Amino acid sequence: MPWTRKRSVPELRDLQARFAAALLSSDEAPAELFSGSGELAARRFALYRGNLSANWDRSLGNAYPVLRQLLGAEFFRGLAREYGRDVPLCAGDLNRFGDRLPEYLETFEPLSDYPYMPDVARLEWALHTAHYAHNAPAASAPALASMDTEALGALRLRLHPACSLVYSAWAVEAIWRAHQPGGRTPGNIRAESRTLICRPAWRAEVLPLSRGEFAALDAIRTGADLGTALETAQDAETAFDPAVGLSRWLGRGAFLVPADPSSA
Amino acid sequence: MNRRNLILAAALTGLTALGATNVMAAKDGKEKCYGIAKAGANDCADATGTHSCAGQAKVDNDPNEWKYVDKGTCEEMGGSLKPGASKK
Amino acid sequence: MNRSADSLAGVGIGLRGGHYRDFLDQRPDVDWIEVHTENYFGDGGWDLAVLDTLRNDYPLSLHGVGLGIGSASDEHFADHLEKVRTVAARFEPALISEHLCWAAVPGRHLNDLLPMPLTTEALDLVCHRVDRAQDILGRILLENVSTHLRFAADTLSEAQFLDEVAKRTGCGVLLDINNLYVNECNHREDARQAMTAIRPEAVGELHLAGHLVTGDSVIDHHGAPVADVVWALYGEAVSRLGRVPTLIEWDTDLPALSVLLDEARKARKVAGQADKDGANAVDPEAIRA
Repeated sequence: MPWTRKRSVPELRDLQARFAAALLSSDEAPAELFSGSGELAARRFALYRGNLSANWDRSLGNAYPVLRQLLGAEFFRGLAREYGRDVPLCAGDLNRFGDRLPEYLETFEPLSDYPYMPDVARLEWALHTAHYAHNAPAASAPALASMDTEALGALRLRLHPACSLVYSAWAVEAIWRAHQPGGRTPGNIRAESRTLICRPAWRAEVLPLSRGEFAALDAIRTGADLGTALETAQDAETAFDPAVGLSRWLGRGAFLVPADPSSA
Repeated sequence: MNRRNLILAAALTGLTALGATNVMAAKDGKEKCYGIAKAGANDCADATGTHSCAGQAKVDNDPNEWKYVDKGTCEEMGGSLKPGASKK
Repeated sequence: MNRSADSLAGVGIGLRGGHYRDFLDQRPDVDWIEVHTENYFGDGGWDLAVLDTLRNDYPLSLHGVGLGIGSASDEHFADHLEKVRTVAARFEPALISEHLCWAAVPGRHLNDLLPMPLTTEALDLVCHRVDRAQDILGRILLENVSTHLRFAADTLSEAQFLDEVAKRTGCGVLLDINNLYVNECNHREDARQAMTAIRPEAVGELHLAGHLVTGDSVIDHHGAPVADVVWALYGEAVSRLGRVPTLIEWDTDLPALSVLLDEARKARKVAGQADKDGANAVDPEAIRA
């Protein structure tokens, strides 16, 4: 048995650990691991580091196109590198790179003058994940229209997997819209925004919500029945119109088809 | 009729009104989806060559400070970006 | 999973998001399509919907970029493999391929095709992993990659390594002709010798792509037409291997679809010519000389 096998050849685990550590460093190159000239090996090793940064930059920009416009391409690239080093991705799928960026930005010192950035990121990540969400059938207005008021009020709807609610003390919805084609810089960014991120067809979108609508959907999200949710909406906003609200949400595919509407 | 029932009755009226369409019908129309431009982030190209000038590879022998010269749109809305300093 | 290796033939192109619309509108004349498996890891959405549709009209190859089959760490392997299995179950591809590379260390995925140390220890590990992958996916192909560096510890050439993995596990080889050329430039490894080190019957697919020549290294950026010197190598490959299914890959700065279709036509032409030449001079030793 080779208990005392000579270790003149570095073990695979060790080679890869040293390669990875150098990749994540600023400028180290473990040239002694490679064949050929050490100087050339060091320069070529930097290509792998460049590839890592470029992949991070590209993937993060794919998920956060508005954040990239807000920060400028160069700052964004720097952010992507800091984030990539500080928050390891544990999946072999770059479409998931950036899942913790909103929290990361909360304490990212270079952006401390921009308290709205984490919420812009929250909105963009919700849009990004909506793009990949399950194609579950959505509850439709005609299906619910056949119910009586009692059954409708007792209905416990669930948000569709593509849907999420984003609240911000800042006008992040207006900021996001300003960066869409033809968008305009908002005059005042110190205004609350409430949105539903949804994917009615295949394209994820941002639906602005009134205070009452947000209250109702948030109540539904946390398990309230529809009657209670609509009452909550009117408590939050006297002008809330249930005739408009419910059909508007259903029109954007906000809810899953109820398991059994008749018994709800 | 109590308040809850009034609200629910109003909601039901809204559901039967014109314009409350079945959302799934829209999914069949592919023409609505052509604007989707999100590219998958996974590929097997060497990204070192991405957007580089001809003959120039993009390396990342990282300076310990990263600066920026191009401006983002955030400065149009007040505030200024601070140069970031790498922690490593 | 039961797959017919015969269902891929001719020249395919890599399907990228930027060409979805062209494919849906025109159903361009390509023999088959290949996608990067990881871009279909989502639970649903547009990418899966497009592939569900196109799958009906084109034979499909799934090309993985994130498994990192040679990572010494086992942390990410089983989870990733399960996701590949899910995608394969949905789309029933004619072929599944992965790269001979590593990609992850404990606690972190590096999301790149990193150069494999070509040692006997690595060979044992890769064979074990291919066995595990094939238990779940059925037969896979393993692709040679381009690298900027070779390890001082290497005791095998990449071609010997791949041929041995194929011999031990029964997997196939996806031979990337451009990568052979890039490695010839970067490491002075003879691309023709590499080609002959792999048994012809193991090769199940060929890849063609463009590269970028820089001062320090040739970069496999998939952002240019296939170089003339790579076309010449491709012709020799077809003479040796026959008309193996061939893919045109383009990732960086994706051009109009017509550019890829032109490349595919060229591949058919080069392969047709080489096949004819090959029939006149079947002796593989002649090619090696």
